[in-house]
Amino acid sequence: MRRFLVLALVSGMLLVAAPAPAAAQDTLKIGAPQPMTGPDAPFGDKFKKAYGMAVEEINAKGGVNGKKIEVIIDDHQAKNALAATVAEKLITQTKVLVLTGGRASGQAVEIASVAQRLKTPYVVDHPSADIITSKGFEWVFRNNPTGSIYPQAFNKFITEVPGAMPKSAAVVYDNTVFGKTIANSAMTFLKSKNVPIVNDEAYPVNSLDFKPLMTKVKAGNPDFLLMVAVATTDAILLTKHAKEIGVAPRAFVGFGGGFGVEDLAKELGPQSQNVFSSAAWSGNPNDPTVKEFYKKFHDKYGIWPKEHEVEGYAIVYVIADALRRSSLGGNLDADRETIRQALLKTDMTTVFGKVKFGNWAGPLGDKYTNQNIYSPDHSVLAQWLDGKLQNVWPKSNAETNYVFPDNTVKR
Amino acid sequence: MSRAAAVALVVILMMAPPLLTANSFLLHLGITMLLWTLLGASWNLLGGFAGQVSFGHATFFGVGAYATMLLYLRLGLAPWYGLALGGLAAMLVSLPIGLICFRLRGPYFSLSTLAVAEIVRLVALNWEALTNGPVGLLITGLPSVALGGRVINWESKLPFYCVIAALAALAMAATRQLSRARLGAYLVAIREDEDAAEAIGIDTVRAKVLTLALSAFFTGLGGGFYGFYYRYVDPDAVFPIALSVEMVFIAVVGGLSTVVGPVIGAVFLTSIGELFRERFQVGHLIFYGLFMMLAIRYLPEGIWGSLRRALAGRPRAEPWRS
Repeated sequence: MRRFLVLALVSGMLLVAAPAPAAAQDTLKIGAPQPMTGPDAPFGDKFKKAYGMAVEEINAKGGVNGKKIEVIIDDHQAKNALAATVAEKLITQTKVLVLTGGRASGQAVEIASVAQRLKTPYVVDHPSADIITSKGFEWVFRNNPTGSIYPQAFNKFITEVPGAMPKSAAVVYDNTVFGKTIANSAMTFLKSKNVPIVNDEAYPVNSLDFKPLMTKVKAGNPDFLLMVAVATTDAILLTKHAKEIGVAPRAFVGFGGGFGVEDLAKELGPQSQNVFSSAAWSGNPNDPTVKEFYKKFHDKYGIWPKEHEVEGYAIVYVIADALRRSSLGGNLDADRETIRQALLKTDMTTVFGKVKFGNWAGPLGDKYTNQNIYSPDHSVLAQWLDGKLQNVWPKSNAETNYVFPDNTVKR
Repeated sequence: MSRAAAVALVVILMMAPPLLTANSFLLHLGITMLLWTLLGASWNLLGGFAGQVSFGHATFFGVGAYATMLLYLRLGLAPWYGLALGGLAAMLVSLPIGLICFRLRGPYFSLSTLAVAEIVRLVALNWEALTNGPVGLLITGLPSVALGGRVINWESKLPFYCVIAALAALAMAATRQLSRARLGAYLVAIREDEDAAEAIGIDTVRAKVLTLALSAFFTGLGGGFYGFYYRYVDPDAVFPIALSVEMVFIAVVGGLSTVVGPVIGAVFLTSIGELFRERFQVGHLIFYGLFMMLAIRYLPEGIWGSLRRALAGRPRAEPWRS
């Protein structure tokens, strides 16, 4: 037994020590730190599928300037320090031309910091914390909207729809970068319109009981109830407990990933009716090319793409476009600078929408660098109607008419 | 080979990598290993010698990291002062924690450290005026510093390597001193039988609180170094339970209450972690876990403990128990 174990251990070590399969030579390498194990692994997998499909399509059409492209995913286990290690390794060992990915904001900040120091372009596809593009990192670009831009569609809705401006609002949000940023952004806007905030409540992620919180909210009798939840279970329980306690606003408005997934309708049943979701943008559903992409993706993988897949798929096209416009000489440092210059001139449309990187001021006064200037348009208000999430505002992206005020609660 | 020679050899090996390679990724791995060495050695002071198993050392790491970052961002204090003050801050925080938690023994003590770590994490998460809450603190550039007429290049790995190697060596020296000091003897007595130690007149609470303060100081230095090296701290990165547990692993796998153990543990775990990750990409944690199980089952004294015993030709000792 002992000998067997030693043998197993030694052969395991040899297996590890043997050179890893070499990457295909002479490809244009894109590095993507993603969580492939650990709590965020399901998200890493979404991006892997999305990158894979885009790479396959581009290479099938002859690649970029005659060379094939390759996305090299490396696992950071959703740990910040490991994300820095992985970024460093992709840049100095794997010698990628450009980075993308990251998934969560904490890890993306580390990757951005490393990319900035080692002068390698990092094109962000999903992480939303404002600080990633508001600290003057000229090597960091972002296609997706920042956290503080997420509530834009909701802001437009209450401004543009007659009589929709809240008379008062309660805001509950999870205690994460994401939750906090969105709540701050929404509250800043409401305060600018002189809407009193009757409740301002933060809760820890993955809470199990929101009844005490909702009892407090009910006492304030808010005209609008704004709820921010990253976690799906939080979104479900917030809505459920608000309705059970009898909070009766004119609108239940959810922000964050938790309110945009099908489980919400499945778990809540009729209680999900009319709940708004200021959902993450996943392309304009009325656009035929976006529709075609949805179908193609579903045919290939058997799932309908959502924000993550759309973002991951689009970013490969954004990077490929910049690579196409760069004449690369083989000197890594010079090539990375050439690619950065090309990214600065990006002006194109993907399934995600229009992309052009620029420097501008965000809704909370953050000074963005290389943030997609079309980001404020990439925010959409959707509503759960008969178990389906449908875009309702702005009009140009609407799939159906909104129901407002909420007709399921007694006031 | 005498023990002193072995220790000297290990210290020389620790300092060697920058002379042998300029590859920045390898130096980065070296820095990671030395940071883990420092943390393993810090934990070892309390866990190894005194047998007080703390699952809450991330608290001191996080306090050190935040203190150093805040001193720099708010007051512009240069890195080295900040590092030392980060260590002191962690030490101060450890005093009330020690006085409360050391009323408990064995598993109750371990659980209370776990609880305190969670409380401190929540404070960091919610005390936004001080810590910036979940958004965290980011340094975008380090101040230029001249040393002996030469400006230090913070973009290279070398200055960081030198700092962390010095800190790790310092922690190891402290371990060695402790093992020879009166306090070290007290701790061993406490570890073996706390009632007997008390009966012969050792002020056990005082001895434990002092050791915790020392251990917290070095852990805080590690936290401060993390802040400066990675340039970004948020509560989830510097206060997680996983971090405390990793410190325990380093000390246990390397060899409890030994000077060299933590280096061996850190080098070993960091390299196999990195190798498995590169090799298996998704399944690597299974192999890592399997390896840990084998190590704990067959090398209960840790790698260095077993090696040392084999070198001295002594029979297999009774594994250490708390």
